[in-house]
Amino acid sequence: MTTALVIVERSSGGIRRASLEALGKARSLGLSTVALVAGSDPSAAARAASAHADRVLAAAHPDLERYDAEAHVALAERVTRDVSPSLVLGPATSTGRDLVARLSARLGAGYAAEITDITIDPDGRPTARRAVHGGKAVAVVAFEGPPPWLATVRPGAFPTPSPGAAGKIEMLHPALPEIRTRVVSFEEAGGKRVHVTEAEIVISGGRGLGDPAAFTLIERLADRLGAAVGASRAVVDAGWRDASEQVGKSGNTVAPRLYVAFGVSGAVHHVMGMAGAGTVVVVNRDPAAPFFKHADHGLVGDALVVLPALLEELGA
Amino acid sequence: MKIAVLVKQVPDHEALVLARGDGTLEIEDRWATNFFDEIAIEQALRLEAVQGGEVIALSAGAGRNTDALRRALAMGADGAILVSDPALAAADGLGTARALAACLRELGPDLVLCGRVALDDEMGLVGPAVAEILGWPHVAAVTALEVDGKAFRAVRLVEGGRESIEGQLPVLIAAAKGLAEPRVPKVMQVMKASRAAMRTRTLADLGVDPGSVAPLVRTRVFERPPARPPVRMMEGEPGDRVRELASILVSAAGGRR
Repeated sequence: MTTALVIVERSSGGIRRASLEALGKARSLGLSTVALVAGSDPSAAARAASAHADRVLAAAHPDLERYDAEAHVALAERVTRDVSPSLVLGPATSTGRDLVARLSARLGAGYAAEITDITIDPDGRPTARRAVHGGKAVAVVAFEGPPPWLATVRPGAFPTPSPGAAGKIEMLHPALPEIRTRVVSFEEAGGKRVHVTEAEIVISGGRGLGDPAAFTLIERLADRLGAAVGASRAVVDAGWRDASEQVGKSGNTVAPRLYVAFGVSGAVHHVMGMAGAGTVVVVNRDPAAPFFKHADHGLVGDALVVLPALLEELGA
Repeated sequence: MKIAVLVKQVPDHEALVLARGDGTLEIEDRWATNFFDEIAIEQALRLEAVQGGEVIALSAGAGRNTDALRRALAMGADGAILVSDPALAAADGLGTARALAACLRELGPDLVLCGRVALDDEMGLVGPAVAEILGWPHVAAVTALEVDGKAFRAVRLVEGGRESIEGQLPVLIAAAKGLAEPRVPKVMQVMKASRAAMRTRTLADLGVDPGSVAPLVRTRVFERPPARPPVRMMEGEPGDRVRELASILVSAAGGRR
């Protein structure tokens, strides 16, 4: 293995956390790291990526501004053929997973989704680990075919790298296929707060909060700690919170450094979405709530009593 | 309009799944049609109710996937096809996608629906790969879909919001939660579906070289997830507990990973 190509996803003003972590992982494997950024003007993201890559390819095209699978796959295919990487890494975000899955079919290359670990075997082939069955087991995955080997990395699975010497930025102006699925509008959810899958800290609320208005307490705590707001399936189904905040089997899979849950019982489908979290703190008035079995720290108490006292204690 | 739906049978989310010491996986015998695939079936049936046409369920592999096809029939699908071949037993997502795409070419649908991910292997590969092999566009993680003649409009959940996407059929749509609430079939429909005829196609029938579905990735062993140490409960007076909670949160929030 010599070269890794890392597909970098832009965020407003920089690059997404999982992309940064993928760059850091590629470098820590001792690979020459090429970052691919794309957009109508990807220069800011290219500069952000350059501190973590030996080389940055910045592809500029209006059709790359929003995610379209075919345009992004066409670009990634061309760059993969030019760079001949042994490893292609992308972020396991919704668009990253979509792109690399389709790229795998385009290239006829083996792919492991949302990996949490990757090592290089003595024969030069990678071995990856990934959660399956909602985190109930971990699959140790071997790549059988020839390179490139493709993987997306779970946000939070690898450390955020420290910036290094700036890699060289090269601009690309690719010819792209005609866009067949066009993004006509984008509706932001969650306002200024970071999304649950991106956040280092997630504060979740469930039915135990009793009523949707109580979520303002969750929001105040989230803002105090710089966290994202998460929600259980029950409160999303009840219409208290937006589906984009849902953690669990049918919502988002999250792996923050700190996960705090208030009034969430900890049903299997919820735990499936946060089993990869670092420190887990659970507050629930029911001492028998199943969530306590999946927590590092537990507090038996009514969220509506604990939260105001906690906010006061934290001066929020 | 002819709509194809890709379905798979997976362990029920409450089934016990345990990695054994020898690296194999023990799975409790409780199965269900993949959560997102049922949403895809429901959406297909709703489109059929408005637009007419037919809904055909497809699955690749053997054994339990016939149960997913029967679930689709019980919910109201008009037909079911199983792509069955010994070579598919070891296939990965890409091999499965090649087999399904060959079957779809033969079937000629206007629209293909599938779930955004199967909750057993959690790869999310088959949908986008099928679209790629067919040369179709696709939209994944869709929470709303309208079809008007040949035009479609889909809403896709992405980090931080929702995108509205427009295009023309044919297209492959991967369903996320919120697209449609799956109906629960009545007992009579389940019984009827259990006796319904099901078409079976082998790779040879579809002109697919068994070598082309050979896996490119293989699970060497399964491991148990890292165990969390036993929970430490905060004790003492309510005020003490809240102070302890605050200090845990501040200390866990403060340090970089």
